[in-house]
Amino acid sequence: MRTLGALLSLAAISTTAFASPDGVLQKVTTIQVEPTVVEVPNNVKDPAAANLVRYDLRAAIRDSHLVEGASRIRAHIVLDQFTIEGKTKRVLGAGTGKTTNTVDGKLVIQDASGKELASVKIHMRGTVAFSPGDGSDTQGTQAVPDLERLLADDLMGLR
Amino acid sequence: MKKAFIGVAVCALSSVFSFTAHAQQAYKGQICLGTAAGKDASQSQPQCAVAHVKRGDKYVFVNSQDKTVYQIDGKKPKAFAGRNVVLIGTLDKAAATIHVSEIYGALPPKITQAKTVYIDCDACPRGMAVAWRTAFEELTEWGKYDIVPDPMKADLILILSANPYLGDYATRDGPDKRPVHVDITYMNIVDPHSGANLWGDWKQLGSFLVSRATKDLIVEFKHQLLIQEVAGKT
Repeated sequence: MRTLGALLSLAAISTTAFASPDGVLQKVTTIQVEPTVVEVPNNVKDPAAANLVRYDLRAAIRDSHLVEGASRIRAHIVLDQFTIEGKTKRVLGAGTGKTTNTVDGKLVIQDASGKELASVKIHMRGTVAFSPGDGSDTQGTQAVPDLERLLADDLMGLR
Repeated sequence: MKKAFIGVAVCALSSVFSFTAHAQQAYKGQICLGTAAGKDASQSQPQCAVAHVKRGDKYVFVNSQDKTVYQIDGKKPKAFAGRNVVLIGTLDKAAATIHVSEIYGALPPKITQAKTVYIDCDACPRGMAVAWRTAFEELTEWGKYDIVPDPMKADLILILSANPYLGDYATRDGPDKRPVHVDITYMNIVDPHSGANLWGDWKQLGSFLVSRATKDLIVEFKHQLLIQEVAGKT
């Protein structure tokens, strides 16, 4: 039950989807991060969502030992849905300072001409862009957000 | 959100430009010790390297552009003795006096020339956790700095904390072990290489209004930067 709970609450499930040939980033050292694409704005009501997930993608690129900069290889996230946990849960969790989001979308890798090289489906329930770590009474280093960790794993999988 | 930003921008701009109606202007210069004022600073010889401030010292303002020395009226500049400042006030040319309504410490070039910033919120448990996101949203809307996820690639570090900054960002070994009591929100702009504090302020709004405190601190920082930019153009 505990394992199931942990899986439901924090597990970030990413499915290597449609077109994600292994090794597409094998010889790539630098990736250019493009703005997030929101196709259905009604499903992404948080105005900061697009920027927050783009920030996590930039952090994930660094985590996977790639360099962010001008490159013929481009990466962006297509955001299908971005929701924040219900009000009651937020109130209950206020003591920890943690906010749980649900993110649905895909990570897209393209070349300079816009041709899609890979696409990895994202489905995640966890922290985005900032996680205060375990709520303690002392200061501490901020934890790696769940979305950043997931995207770093996806990028590593494409190498 | 956009409307709110426009509102803030209008407020900041109006506070800068509204004084045009009262002939107020922003002036960049230094607070020095001296008595005489006038066009020729060499006659009055103001002392700008102020080591110790004594009772009865009289302060003057030396304009950085034309080196003219002015008497200061309205605000006590003691806390800024020897420092570069931006004054907002009205100039009485005949009396060589600036009637000052606001004084700010001049922001260092590292802040004005910076292009990238990293937001660090390592003292952000519990109620402080909202500070990071508020800062991210405010800085994104402002658009002056690119918010980078790597502190090594940032020109500036914006530190949000419930504890005062100790100046040890570059030298600290591991996380800060101080206990955190969320009451005051501190914001410091820090040099990532030396850890030196370049700008700092705080707001005491309690643990339930950390987001508001963070917003206020960023608005205050923006306001000072805007005034300095205006002063640099006049």
